[in-house]
Amino acid sequence: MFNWIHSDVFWSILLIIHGLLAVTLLGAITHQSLALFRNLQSAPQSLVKRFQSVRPEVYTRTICILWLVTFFMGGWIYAQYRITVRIPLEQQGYWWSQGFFEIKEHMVSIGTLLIPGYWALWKNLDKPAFDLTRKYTTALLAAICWFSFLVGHVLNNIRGFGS
Amino acid sequence: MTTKSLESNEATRQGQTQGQALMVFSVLAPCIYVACNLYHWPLFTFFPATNHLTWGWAPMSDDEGPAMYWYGWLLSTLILGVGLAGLAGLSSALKNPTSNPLLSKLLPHVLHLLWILPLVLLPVIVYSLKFYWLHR
Repeated sequence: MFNWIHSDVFWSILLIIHGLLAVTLLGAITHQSLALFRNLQSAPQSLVKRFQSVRPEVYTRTICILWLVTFFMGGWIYAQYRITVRIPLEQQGYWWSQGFFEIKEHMVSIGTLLIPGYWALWKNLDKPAFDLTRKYTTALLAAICWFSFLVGHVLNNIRGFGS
Repeated sequence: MTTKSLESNEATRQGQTQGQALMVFSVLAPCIYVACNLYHWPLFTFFPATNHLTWGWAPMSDDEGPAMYWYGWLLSTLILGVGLAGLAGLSSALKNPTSNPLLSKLLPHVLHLLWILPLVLLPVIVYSLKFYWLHR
């Protein structure tokens, strides 16, 4: 494959796809979690209230698929990152940036391990006993997604593929 | 009771068991993952510079380049997590929690561990990365 496409271009394309998938996931999971925290008493008037006035359960399957696809894309890129990005980062002394990437790696892994439970919680909508757990698990996944997106974005600014 | 309604009840019961096993997996797996990380239990080590795999934990070397343990930790976690959640799913108490009044009362509270445990594990992860925070 690298006969007709340069290695840096190939990995940059994969990284952009990974980033676009992350943006889509971010939108879906933010929508779902904000909808869970809405106040049902008031009619949607403001932009935020309209953003919240969706049926959160319709996002569940999309979020599960997007999370797993984005995760596997990230896992594919990670091996290349370890050689071409992390080593120069360490040589240039970006230890805190690398530390934050490690937190992202672990939190995204934990988020992925929560996905089966998250899916099961949303499949049990008829059980009010699960409502709070569903709400906070979804909010936690949204927080992990936002944190990971921002860390990935900043790291790419510091040193992306081919820089 | 008709055959159709019996089948429907069985399907519902199996659906509940499957869902509960998934929740048990998601409660246990983050703890297993962090333990694999802290105690160096990757199922394999991957050397991306040479595309070489070694079973278990192996240090980085001049010949092989940097070592990656993340893939190995994930596989260790999946195997242990699926095994333990499968055992829990097979247990009669979890198959039908409503038959056990104490379990049916406790289950919703225990499920809060789904979001509490990752928050508890976060400081542990940050501490385990102290090398990066203290490096000069």
